Amino acid sequence: MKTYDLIVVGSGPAGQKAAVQAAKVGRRVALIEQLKEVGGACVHQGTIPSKALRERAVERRRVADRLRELGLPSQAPVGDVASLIGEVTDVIRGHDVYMAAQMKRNGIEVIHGRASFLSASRIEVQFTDGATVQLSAKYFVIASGSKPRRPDNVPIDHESIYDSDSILSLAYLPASLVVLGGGVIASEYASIFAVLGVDVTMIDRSTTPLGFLEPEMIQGFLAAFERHGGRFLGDAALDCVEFDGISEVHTRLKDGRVVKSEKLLCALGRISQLDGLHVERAGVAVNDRQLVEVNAFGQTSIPNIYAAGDVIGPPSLASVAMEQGRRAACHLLGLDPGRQGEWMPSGIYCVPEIASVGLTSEQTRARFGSVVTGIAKFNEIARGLIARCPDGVLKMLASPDGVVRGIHIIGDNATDLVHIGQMGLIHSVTVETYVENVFNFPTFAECYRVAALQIAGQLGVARRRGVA
Amino acid sequence: MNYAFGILPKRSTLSDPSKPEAGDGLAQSNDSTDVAAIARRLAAQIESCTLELPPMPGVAAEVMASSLDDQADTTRLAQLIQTDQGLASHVLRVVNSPTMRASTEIVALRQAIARLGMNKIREIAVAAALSSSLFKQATYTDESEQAWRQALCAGLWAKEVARACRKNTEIAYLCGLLHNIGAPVVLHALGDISTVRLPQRDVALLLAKFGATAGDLLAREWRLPEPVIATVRWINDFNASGQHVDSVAVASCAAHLARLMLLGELAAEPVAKLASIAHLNLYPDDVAALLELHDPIRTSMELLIV
Repeated sequence: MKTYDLIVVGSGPAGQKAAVQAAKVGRRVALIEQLKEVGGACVHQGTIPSKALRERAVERRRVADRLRELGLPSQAPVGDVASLIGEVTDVIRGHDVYMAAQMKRNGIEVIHGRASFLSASRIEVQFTDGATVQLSAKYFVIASGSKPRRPDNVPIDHESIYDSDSILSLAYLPASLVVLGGGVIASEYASIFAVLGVDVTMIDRSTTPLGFLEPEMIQGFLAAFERHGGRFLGDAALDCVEFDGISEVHTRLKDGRVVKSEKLLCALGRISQLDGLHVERAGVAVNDRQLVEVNAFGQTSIPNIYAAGDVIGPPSLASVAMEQGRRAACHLLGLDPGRQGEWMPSGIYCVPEIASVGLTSEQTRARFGSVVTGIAKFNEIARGLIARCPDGVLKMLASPDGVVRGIHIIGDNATDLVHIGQMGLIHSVTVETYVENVFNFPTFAECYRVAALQIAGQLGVARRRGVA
Repeated sequence: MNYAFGILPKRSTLSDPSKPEAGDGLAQSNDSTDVAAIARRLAAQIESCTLELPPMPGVAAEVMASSLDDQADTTRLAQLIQTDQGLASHVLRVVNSPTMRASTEIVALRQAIARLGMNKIREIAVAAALSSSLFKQATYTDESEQAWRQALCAGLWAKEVARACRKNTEIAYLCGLLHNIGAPVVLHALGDISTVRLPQRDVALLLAKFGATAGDLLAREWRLPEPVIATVRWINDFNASGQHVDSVAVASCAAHLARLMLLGELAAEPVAKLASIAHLNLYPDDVAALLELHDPIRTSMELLIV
């Protein structure tokens, strides 16, 4: 039986980082991946494909809109799905090649098969032809990721009713699409398909989509979504979904309403992927939400078995999963992983992008008694006007002592722009730092200064320090 | 043995399409001179682009195009089918067959579409249009019939394979249904070259040798969707099919399943060993779930052949 220092199950962001970390310090590492490629759902069904699709959709929409503005024929190929998906596939292949090379470079043995624990030190791998092999290791990292949740009342057939893993198999753009859910994945796909000209209806039991965000972000999202022809049905309890056997999907709500669409995307969350892994044979504890329970170091109830990424639950961000994987590997190797960063940014790749870092208004108020808010609108700064960004907003939150506590952004480049705020939070900077330092002009980053000036004005800093 | 074009053997000699066989076997034929001469004529016809390619059945072309058209609607589909009297009656015959029949008799196409759905009616219509024209041949009736059953069965399996690996089911159906359209072209050509019927073994060898190339010519002539053209060309070597490799692998897998089913030898073991199964990353439990669809697929196939 082959023996390794570390066996990692799953090659998504968490598994990949754990494997690379261990290999870099000379450990013998095997990475077991059930897909043919490395990268997991992040690369092949989720993060990368949806972001690539978003980028291409926005690009095409801009070209089409611009042609129309110039009075040129407006039959721009916004809806040519074959080439759109082809471009997305090229991005995935590129990423796949890069990751495979990284594994090889680090001497990681990638084994394509389905893993199944036999004990806390042994694992069996089954291949597509049914053959099996047993492997043993001193340590394991479970990074098997997540899969779409399939509610009983939504009969997903991948033909008329899709989930987030199959939606990109569409051969043509449907005339209409219902998106069930109001979370990140639902909002991303709903806004992307709306941009592509599909008649999109988002249905969710919450009163707004993305309810965990600051109100300005939600308003900005809804304004853009509706401008692109989408509509949001909130407060809507789902009764059931049915394909009428002809050409329409009927979404029945408990209040009697029926929404008809050509296709439906069910994006009602993801659940951990533990199918066939038999973690119970290794004694690993799983909670009632089927998430693997871990301590601060990513260690499960069995000391030599760690877990990281979606399989341990929220926030289900690729960026966070990478760090969880790295830290788990450091801990099992006895290496110092460094101080755990307190401020993790989040990014939502809808149209327009949304990103945030730090506290919300409510959290700031709860922790510091009150909150001071500064808002900069993209269409009021030079770069925003140049780039035509009607929906961009940067919201800065500070505590009464002027220390910046949270940054929330909607608009072009929000997911990049947020990192300026992240650095500020790490160093506990006050609004004066943003006011007194020079930013390039014209840039979106100028929004930080504008928002900081508003807060400075409210706090009386402007009068004391002579800033404008 | 070329699994996509060959005549069904008495027992399975199914080969792995990723490993093409050496030699075409024509030289070892019982009547090697005649067969070799016919093979040369076929090759010359293909080379000089003089191989007779049948026109695409008009309704099939339009119905097929409508399956990838987001503007298609029920009325238009019904109108299309109604333009061909034979086709319209076939569709009504299928929907009124004992397995599908509703409590009331279906007398109109719109009613049929409402009963079975646009996609199902499309499948029936395309299948019927192809079987009544392309796959009808006077000299090689049995071979044509077998090729047609293989095509239809592969189309139905392709949808399920695609569903299992989250690929598009509509494209998969077309790729499966049309994967062996070269077979009827070769059979027509054989009938034209000589009125004397060749032995079945020689026919099988000629189909294996020329089926994919003839199909490729026809697929291009008919301007079929790109994944279908790639399937027809590379059905025996999906790894070489470039950007459409997944669509071709689905069709390849479906063609194998169809062939095994028609031979009565559909079982997990040979299926698990297919190169396409490995390419599509289907594990033993996925294969087991697929094979459970044997009965519904056979029922659908018998229905479409009514």
